[in-house]
Amino acid sequence: MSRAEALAAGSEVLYREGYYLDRQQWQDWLALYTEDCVLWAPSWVGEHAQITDPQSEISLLYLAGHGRLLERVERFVSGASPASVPLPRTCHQVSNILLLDHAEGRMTLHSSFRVDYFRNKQVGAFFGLYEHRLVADGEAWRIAGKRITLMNDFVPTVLDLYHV
Amino acid sequence: MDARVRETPLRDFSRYVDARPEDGVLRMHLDLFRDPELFELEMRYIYERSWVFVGHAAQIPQPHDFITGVIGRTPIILQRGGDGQVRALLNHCSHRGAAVATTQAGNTQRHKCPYHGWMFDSAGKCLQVADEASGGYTEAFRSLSHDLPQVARLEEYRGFFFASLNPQVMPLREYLGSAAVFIDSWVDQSPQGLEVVRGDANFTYGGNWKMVFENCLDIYHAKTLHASFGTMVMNRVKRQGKDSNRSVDLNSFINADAEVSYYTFPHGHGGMWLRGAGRREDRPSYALWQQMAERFGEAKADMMVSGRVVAIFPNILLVESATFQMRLLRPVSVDKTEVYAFCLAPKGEPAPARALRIRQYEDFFSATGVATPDDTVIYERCQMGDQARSIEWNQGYHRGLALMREGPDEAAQTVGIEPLHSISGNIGIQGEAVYLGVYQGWLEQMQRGQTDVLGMRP
Repeated sequence: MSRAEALAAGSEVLYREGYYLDRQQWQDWLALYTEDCVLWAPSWVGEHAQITDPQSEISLLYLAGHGRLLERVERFVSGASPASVPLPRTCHQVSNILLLDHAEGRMTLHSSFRVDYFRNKQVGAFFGLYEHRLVADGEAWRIAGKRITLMNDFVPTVLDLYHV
Repeated sequence: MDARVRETPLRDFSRYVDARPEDGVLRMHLDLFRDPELFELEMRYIYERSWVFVGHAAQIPQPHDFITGVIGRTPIILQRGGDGQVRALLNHCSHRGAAVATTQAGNTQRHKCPYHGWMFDSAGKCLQVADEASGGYTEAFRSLSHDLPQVARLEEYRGFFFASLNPQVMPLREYLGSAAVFIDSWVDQSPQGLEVVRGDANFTYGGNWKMVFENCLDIYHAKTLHASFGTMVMNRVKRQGKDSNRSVDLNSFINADAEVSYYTFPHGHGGMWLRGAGRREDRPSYALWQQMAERFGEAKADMMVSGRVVAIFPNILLVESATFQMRLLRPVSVDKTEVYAFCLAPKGEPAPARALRIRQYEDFFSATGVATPDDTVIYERCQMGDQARSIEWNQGYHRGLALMREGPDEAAQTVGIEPLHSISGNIGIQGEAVYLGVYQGWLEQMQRGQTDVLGMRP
């Protein structure tokens, strides 16, 4: 696979992730992730440093394994969690996509994101950087790792998976 | 004192607190949560007159480490000097008033005001008035101290720093009273004391500051508000087995034969202690139980691995429900609050226990987790509902009131807690009457603050 082909295939996954989240197609979104995926949003330490070890430091999100994503989705669609009633309308924008490295069956992509949301007549936004680690699964590419560098980390009331 | 205070009429704050336990009545006026003027008075009479929690020693372990914060509306720097001593300084250049530190935390030997270049050391001493020699200053100016003003009082209780703008405030130890027994139950978990696990995870909500203060002493809400957390934990156990990603099971909190005690303390503090709720083996601190029992006896060691909460009025919450968290509250306005959250843990905790602690913390306590956002959203719903101006009084504090008695219960006696009141029994009480102490403390502090401040009127 050429560099251009890898970039195109990887970008497609990133765009598709936002597409599924914004359309609330949760099962399709979950299917993008591998069984052993890790979704990690490290927390900040001071102005420009972040934690490096999720086993000994606090993360904003550290979800290891597909089951962790599934249970979060089950919770926020259940209607039993007031934090997600009503679910916000969200709009993911992903840009500045760079192919950091690629080899047979795997690649790493950098990108910038902004997620605007609207809930209870209020607008808000989260923004930052993504680093996606993708692995080939037959014809498809799946997300084995998603690292979220959340810039505006002073959380206004709620932050859930659909916000990032 | 604000210039405006001189014209402030005396207020009778008792009209906001209807506490007549002897008649079976305990209710609060909704203006406590919705009146912006009352909020300003709380800042003036409670936050700027009483003790306020400003930080933990473990946040500033090294010489010249500092954190910034506020006492009420007054910006401060809590800094460890080159001599190792911790000082609370006003974050206010004595010249034109610019804040000299703007980051939440840092390490510096010098604070240089970027406006005109006045320089201060980490003890607040003014090192230079920039270009003073050529400045044509008067003798009257030269006779002034240009140092960063010190906060009137700073005292430490076992690593917890409290400050007060009131030089006449009572000694901290007296203020804490036997609510300190709860603090001890965390500090004593390790001979080396507590450390702050690295990583900021702070949040705001659109509600009054007293809502989170109330919430931490409330388990009545766990079964309903956190139902989705309970379901999630149940499914997790079903799918992944008991020992993978263990979480303290809130379902067993409520359903078990567990016991609970609530304690009121003077000055507005409240405590809650759950015994036999949840599997204690699921708590990270259980790894240290044997050591703790050898040092402090089994009764105290048992307390150290149980669910418990102490809310020190007005702005620090120490909460161990699913796991342990320290919260520092910063009221911003009548309907906005900032919460600074800290994962405190015993130093020397085994690595697997620490990792479990961190996962439980993120799960339950983070604003990015699966329990706290339900709380914060509910504060906003209460703030919305409390705008009902035809309603004066809530009915929020009667649960367990009939069971309240004066003095310690049996459990309190085993560990030396001496409360004003105890409410105890089966966990099914899920009592609320503990807020009697909170709001009596509120009233006491508002009245004393008003008397002190207005007593200073010329």
